[in-house]
Amino acid sequence: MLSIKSIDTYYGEVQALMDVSVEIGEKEIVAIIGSNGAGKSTLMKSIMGLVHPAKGTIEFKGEVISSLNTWDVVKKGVIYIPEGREVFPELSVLENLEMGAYSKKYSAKELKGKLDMAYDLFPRLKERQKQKAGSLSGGEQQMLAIARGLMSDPKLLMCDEPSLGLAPVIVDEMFDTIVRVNQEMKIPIIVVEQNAYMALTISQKAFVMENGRVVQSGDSQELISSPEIKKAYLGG
Amino acid sequence: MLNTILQLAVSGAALGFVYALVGIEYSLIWNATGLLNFSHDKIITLGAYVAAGLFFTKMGLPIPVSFILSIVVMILVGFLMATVVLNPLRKMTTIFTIMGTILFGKMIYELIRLLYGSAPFTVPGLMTGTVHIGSLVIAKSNVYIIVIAVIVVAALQIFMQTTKTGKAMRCVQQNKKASELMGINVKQNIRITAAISSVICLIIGFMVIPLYTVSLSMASMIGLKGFAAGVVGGFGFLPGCIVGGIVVGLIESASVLVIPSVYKDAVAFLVLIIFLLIKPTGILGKKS
Repeated sequence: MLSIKSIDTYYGEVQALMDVSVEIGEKEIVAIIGSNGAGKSTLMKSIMGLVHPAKGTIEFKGEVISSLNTWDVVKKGVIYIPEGREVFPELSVLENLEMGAYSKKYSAKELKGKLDMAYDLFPRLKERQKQKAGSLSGGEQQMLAIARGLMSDPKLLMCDEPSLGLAPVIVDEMFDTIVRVNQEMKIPIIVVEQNAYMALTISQKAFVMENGRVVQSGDSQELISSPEIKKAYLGG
Repeated sequence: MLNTILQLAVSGAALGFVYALVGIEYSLIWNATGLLNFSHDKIITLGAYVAAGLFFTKMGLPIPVSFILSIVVMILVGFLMATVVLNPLRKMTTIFTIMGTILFGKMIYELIRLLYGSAPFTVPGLMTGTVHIGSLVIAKSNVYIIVIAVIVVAALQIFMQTTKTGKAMRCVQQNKKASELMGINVKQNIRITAAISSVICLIIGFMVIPLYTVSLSMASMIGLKGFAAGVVGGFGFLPGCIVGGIVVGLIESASVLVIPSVYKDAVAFLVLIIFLLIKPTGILGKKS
């Protein structure tokens, strides 16, 4: 569904991605793990057109998207939930969700249906729909970010560090939701995580990144038991 | 005495609304791009020249028609400004962005001077006359200014709160990256914002013709005082611009009761300095 073919991405003079190739199939959850600065978020930004790769191509459903503007990538149905939530703090929860549907031309009824779906996934958001998003807790903002991402009926969802800075019990809830979305909406999800254990547990396939390169990839269950991965990412 | 105070209050409020619109016009650009538009007073002047000079005086069209055609021209000016100045410069170092908007203003200024010469002119019969309420005499131009400004402010609020493009403008203000990730074409949105700002400039330029005549320097003072209004009310915050504008307008207008009116123009800047010293966030401003 998404195929990234040996891309190089630069920030000015600094090369952040080196010859990265990643394949994402239909309906699967794929984990991208690695330490800080390994290039995970840069890979996401390259897919979204927030930075453009200098070499290589990115294809989504057979179409090359690597030279498109971000808003056009979004129109193709690729939705990225960025690291650090990035909700609109001065807009209400409801308005944030409505903005999630910006790229779609929904009728009032369709929009209502999407909102109901979002509130069904996170009932807490319904209670707070009139509140400004900036006044929510970190966990609630993460819920809002995911719900907002789902408003446009994505064909591919990418979550960047959904567990960052959240209490362990909320982290479990986030990952449960990601699995639920994957099963109910039948869409592939890419999860970028430093919390490698969690990401490997819920995913079918994983890519391990280090210094801008993919150094290992394969079945998540195999990786979780591989001695190297255990040593480097799972704390022995 | 009471009549004098009431008259000063009305003219102060009218001036205040002019400053408020100036504040709103440059705050829209500031919010959308993080750039101070130093060409804004030139765009106000251009608006007055296009409406009064080109369409009304030169082509002899009726005032309403001149005004509507001018809106079209100013939308194009806004698009042009966003395309050649705001969008390319907004990610650069401040000095480039400052120079960019100043030079854009300079080009507009020289263009007007080449086309119209530097002699000021008036528009006979535009918003002239007085209204009598009892023994109170109010210039019609002041009434027009207040009514038009209130309509503009209300229309802008409705647009920003209810339309998809307006909501997207608020998103772009708050977080450009997240806006792009929602599928908002940020560059296009900035072009629309610049167009709205230019149309407000036209309205300001048109409204102040009875007060200042049409001249190359007609907007330099209101441009600066509008900036003061924004700071006094709360920088980058649209309701703040309105409050700040009216406060500055009323204080300025009332000042002639106690000081010689030749010093009137200094009052707005005195208020600005006092606010910068004691409350730099402005009356309605939030701590950032």
